[in-house]
Amino acid sequence: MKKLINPIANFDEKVLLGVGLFFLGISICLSPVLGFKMSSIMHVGLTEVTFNNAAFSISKSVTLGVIIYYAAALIINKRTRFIDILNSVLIALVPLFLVSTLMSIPWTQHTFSNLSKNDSVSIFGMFFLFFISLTILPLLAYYFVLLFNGFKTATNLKEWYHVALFVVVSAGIAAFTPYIF
Amino acid sequence: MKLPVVCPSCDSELKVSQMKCSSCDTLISGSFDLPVLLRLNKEEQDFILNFFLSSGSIKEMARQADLSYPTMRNKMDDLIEKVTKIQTS
Repeated sequence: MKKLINPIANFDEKVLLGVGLFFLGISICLSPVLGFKMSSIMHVGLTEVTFNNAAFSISKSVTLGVIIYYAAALIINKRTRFIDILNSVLIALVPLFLVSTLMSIPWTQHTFSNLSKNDSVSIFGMFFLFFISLTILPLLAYYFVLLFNGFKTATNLKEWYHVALFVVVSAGIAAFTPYIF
Repeated sequence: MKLPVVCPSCDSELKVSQMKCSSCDTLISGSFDLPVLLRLNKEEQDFILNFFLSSGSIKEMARQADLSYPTMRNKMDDLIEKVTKIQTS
């Protein structure tokens, strides 16, 4: 269990890279099918998207995220390796892709749409939403845990101001990278 | 057997005050500082020894300990910082 909380600290970088790229590939393929688009590594939206668009937006998001985190990592520790930051971002995205998949399920979208229009939702729909929420929230928390733990291990982060830098950089990525390109 | 390096009463660094020859019982008294490497705890000394026995390969150490390279690298960096502090103090 401990190994899953911080895979960067426990698994070989080639294995992590393989797993990360595998899930990235699956997400690029599933994105046009299920209808979700990643505009940054902190933002996934539900929208119609073509395969080329999906490949571009996911690749752009990951590339920008990795470059920005790597620049921040070099400020903290000049010996940080690029592959460790790349693996931290790729592995952290796995739960985010699962969240996107769950949110893209037609039944989920239909139930949310009914709720937002103040239409009636069946008991089964409410239970389904409850189950989805119980699954999505821990997955989102796990995403942040993987991202932070991976960054912490890659940079040997120790001081409180290093953590603050990570938070500021993450907020910057969330706020600005969706509007780049 | 563990070699104590800090005082169990006040946590100050211990010094060597007497050494004995095991073949002729000659006693040497004085006040000698422990070598830098002996001022580390057993785990840290074992880590440095493993590093030496792995021909200086952090990757090999990581493979043997079933940990990743960055984890070993971080331990190495922390130990380097500690040894540097001991040398300068």
